[in-house]
Amino acid sequence: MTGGEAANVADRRCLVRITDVRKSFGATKALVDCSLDIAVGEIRALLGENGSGKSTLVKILGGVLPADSGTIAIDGAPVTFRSPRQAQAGGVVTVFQETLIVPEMSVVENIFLGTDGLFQWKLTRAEQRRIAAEALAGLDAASIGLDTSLEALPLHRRQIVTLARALVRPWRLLILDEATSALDIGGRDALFNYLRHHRPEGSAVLFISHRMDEIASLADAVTLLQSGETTATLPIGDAPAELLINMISKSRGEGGVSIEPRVRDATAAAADEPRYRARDVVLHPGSRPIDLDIRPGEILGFSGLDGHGQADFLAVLARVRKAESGSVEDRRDGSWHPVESMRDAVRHGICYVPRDRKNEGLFGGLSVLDNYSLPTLPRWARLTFIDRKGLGKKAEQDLNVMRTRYPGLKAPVGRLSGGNQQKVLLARWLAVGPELMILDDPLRGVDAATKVEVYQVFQDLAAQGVTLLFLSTEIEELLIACDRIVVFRESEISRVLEGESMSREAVVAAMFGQQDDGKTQGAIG
Amino acid sequence: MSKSVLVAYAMVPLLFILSMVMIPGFGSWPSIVSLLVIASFLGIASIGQTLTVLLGGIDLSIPAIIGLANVLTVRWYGAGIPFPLVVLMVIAVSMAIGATSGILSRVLNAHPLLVTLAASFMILGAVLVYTEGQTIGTVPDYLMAAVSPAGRTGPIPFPPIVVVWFALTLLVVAIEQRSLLGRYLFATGANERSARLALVPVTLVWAATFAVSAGCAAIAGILLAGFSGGADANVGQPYLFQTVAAVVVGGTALLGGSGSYGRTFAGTLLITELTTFLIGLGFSERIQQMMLGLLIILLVALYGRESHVRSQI
Ligand SMILES: Nc1ncnc2c1ncn2[C@@H]1O[C@H](COP(=O)(O)OP(=O)(O)OP(=O)(O)O)[C@@H](O)[C@H]1O
Ligand SMILES: [Mg+2]
Repeated sequence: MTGGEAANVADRRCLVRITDVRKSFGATKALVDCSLDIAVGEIRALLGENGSGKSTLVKILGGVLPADSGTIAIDGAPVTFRSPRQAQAGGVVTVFQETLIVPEMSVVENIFLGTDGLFQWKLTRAEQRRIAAEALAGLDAASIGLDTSLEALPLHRRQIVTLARALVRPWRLLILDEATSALDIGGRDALFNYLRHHRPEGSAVLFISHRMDEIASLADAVTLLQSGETTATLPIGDAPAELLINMISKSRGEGGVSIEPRVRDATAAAADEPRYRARDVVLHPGSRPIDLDIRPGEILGFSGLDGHGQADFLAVLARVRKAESGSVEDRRDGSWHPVESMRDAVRHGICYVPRDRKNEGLFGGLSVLDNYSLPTLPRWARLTFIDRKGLGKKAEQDLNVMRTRYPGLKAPVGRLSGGNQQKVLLARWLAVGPELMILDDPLRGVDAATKVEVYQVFQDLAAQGVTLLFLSTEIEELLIACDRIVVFRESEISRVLEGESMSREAVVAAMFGQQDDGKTQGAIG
Repeated sequence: MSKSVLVAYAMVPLLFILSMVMIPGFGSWPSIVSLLVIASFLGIASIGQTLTVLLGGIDLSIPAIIGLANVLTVRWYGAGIPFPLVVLMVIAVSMAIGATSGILSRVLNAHPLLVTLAASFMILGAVLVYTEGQTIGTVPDYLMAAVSPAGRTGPIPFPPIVVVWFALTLLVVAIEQRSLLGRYLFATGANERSARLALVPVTLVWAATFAVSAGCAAIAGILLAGFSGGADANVGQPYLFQTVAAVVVGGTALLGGSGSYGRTFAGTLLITELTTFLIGLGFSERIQQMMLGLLIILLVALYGRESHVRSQI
C-alpha cells in the first residue's frame, strides 16, 4: 500500500497506539495525557505550540526518554524502548529536531552510523556507498559528496544527511520532528514525493511541523497537542490552516490570530534614499557582481534554492563572511562609508542572526539569561559588575513579547523546546536595537501563531525605520512579511520581486531560473 | 547547580575526619593553619588555571611566572625599591606577559598549550640571563610573617596569606558570576564562534583572562618569596601539575565553558589534605603522586557520568 489514499484511515489496522502517556521534568509537566492511534498507511501530523510536548513524545517513542506512565503498543503488542537502538529494531526510526551527527565523520559514515547488526546482513563498503548515494539522490541532494565530512556542510545539508540516515533503515513508523525545517523546496518536494508514493508497505509516518502548507499537502490527518494533552484529531480535509492555528492558540485567550499581508506605501518607500548598499559583490569566482540598495524601514525577503548564495550574501553583508570582491557601504551624513569587518558592521548598526542556532547561535549549557543578554551585556555593567536585577527584568519583558516558555532565567537554554530556543535568540537581537537586522531563517521551528506575532514585531520595527533582511525557506512567509523579495540563483540575483509581481509562482520560477515574463532581471541599483 | 560540585566539597571533611582518626595531631589548630597556608599557595596559583581552562585553554606558563615573580621580588626589593612598588611592578610585568600569550594564541590561532609552553621557556631563559644565575636580594620581614603559619591578620587567627586567598576566592567567584568579563569568559569557552557572533570581544577576553592568570601566578610567586626568604627561579615547578589537578579534581571541564573557581577551591583543599595526610603516614613522594593520580581518575569517572546538556538531543 502506498500513501495518498487519504480518506478513511479510521477503519484501517492500527499500527501504533499511544495511551495516556505522561512525562514530567521536575516541576514541568511536558506530557499530561497523550493518547493517539496511527493507522497502517497513514501520514499523521502532530501540531502544537512551542513547548507543548511534541519532541518529548517523539523522544519517548524513539527510546531516548522513558515515559513516567502510559503505554505504547505496536501492532497491538505493548512495547518499551530503552534506547534508540531498540526502537529501531522495533521498526521505529526517528529524525530528531536537533540534527544529530558526528561532524568529523563523512557523509556515508554518518548515514550508516550504528547500523551494525541492525541489517540482516552486513553491508560492504561498496553497497553502503551505493545505498547512501541512492538515498541522497532520492532527496534531490545527489550533489552532496559521500566523503565530505559533515563539518563542511551547512545546516540544510546536514538535515538531508540525517533524513537519508533514517530512510536507509528498515522502518515501519518514521517520525520526523521538524526534520524539514531547513530544507528548500527542492529537497522538501523530493521527500514528500517519496513519503507519499514510495514508502514501504505497511508503514506509517508521524510528521511534526509548524508549517501549515506542509501539513496540508502531506498529512492525512492532524492531531493537536496542547500543553501536553492531545485534544483533537481531524481529517486534513476538515482542518484549514486558520482553524488549526486558532484552535491551538485558543489557550492564549485572545480573539485568535489573523494573518494579514504587509501593506506599505510603495511610492513613499521608493522615494527614500538608500541607507545601506552592496556594490559589485561577487560571491563566487566568475559569477555576476551583485548590486543592491537597501532603504530604511523596508523588509527585504531573501529566497532561493539552498546553496545558491542567498545565505552567503547575507553573511557577506554582515561582514561575517568574505566575498570574492565588492563592498558593503553605509550612508552616514550624506556620504557612503565602507563597512570593513564584523566589528565595523556592529558599529554601523548591523546585526546578524545566523541560521544554525545550535552551533552558531546559542550556548546550550549556559542559562537563558546569558544567552539572551550577551550582546547587550555592556549596557548593564557598571565597573564591569552587572546590574542583574535590571537585566533580569528586561529579559523577562523581551522574552514575554516573544511568548517564550522557559522554566526560569537560570535554566540552561538547551532544556527549552526548539521553538523556544529560537525565541530566546530573536529576543536577544531585538534587544540590541539595530538599524539593519539580518536574519537567516529566524522563524525556523517557531509555531504558527507566534510567527504571526513576530511578523507584527517586524512591522513595528520597520515603521520605526529599522531595516530587516529576512531569509526564509517558506515562500508564503516572505509574501506575507516583506516589501520586496530578492531571489537568488547560482550566486547571482535572479530576480527582485516587488508589489504586484510578488507571487509564489514568480518566486519559484526565479529560483529555478525560469523567465516567466520574458526576461530575467539582473542586478538592480 | 549540578550535583557533582557537592562531591569535592563532601570529600574535604570526610578526608579530614579520616586523617584526624589515623594521624594524631592532624586536627590540631597549628596543623590546620599550616595546611591552609600550603593550600593558599596552590589555591592562588590555580585561579589562573581555572579561568584559562574555563576559556577552553590551559596555562602552562604559571610555574615560569611564579619563578619570575619570585626572583624579581627578591631582586628589586634588595635593590632598595619600596615593597608596595615592587609588588605593583611585578604584577604589571607578569600581566603584560600573560596578555601577550592570550593575544598570540588568538592571532596565531595556536593552542595556548603551545604558546604558554613557549612563553615558559622564554621567561625562564630571560630570568637566568637577567640574574646571571645568581640569587641575591632579600624580602621584607612582614612578607615572611604574612605567610608564616604562626601569623595573624589583626583579629583574625589566620596569617594574611590565608585571608588573601579567601578574599580572592570570593572576588573571583563574584567576577565569574556577576561581571561582564566572567560571562564573556563562559560564553567564549562554551562556543567561540557563537560568542564572536554574539558580539563578545573574544581576543580581548583571551588577553584579559591570561593576564589575570599571570597576575595571580605573580601573587603566588611573591608570597613564595616570603616563605623561603630567598629567590629561586624554579620555585614554581610543582605548580604545573598541581594547578591542573586542582581544577580537574574540583570538577571544571577541560573542554571549557562549564565549571567555576568555587569548585577549584574545594579541589585545592582536597589535594592539599591528601598530600598532607600521606606525608603524615610517612609515604614517599612517589606514593603521594600515585594516590593523587588515583583521586583524579576516581573523580573524573564520577564527573563523566553527569550528562551534559550540550550533548542532549
Ligand atoms: N531535558 C529537559 N529538561 C527539562 N525540561 C525539559 C526537557 N526537555 C523538554 N523540557 C520541557 O518540556 C516541555 C515540552 O518540550 P518539547 O521539547 O517536547 O516541546 P515541543 O512541543 O517539541 O516544542 P517545539 O515546537 O518548540 O519544538 C517544555 O516546557 C520544555 O522546556
Ligand atoms: Mg520540539
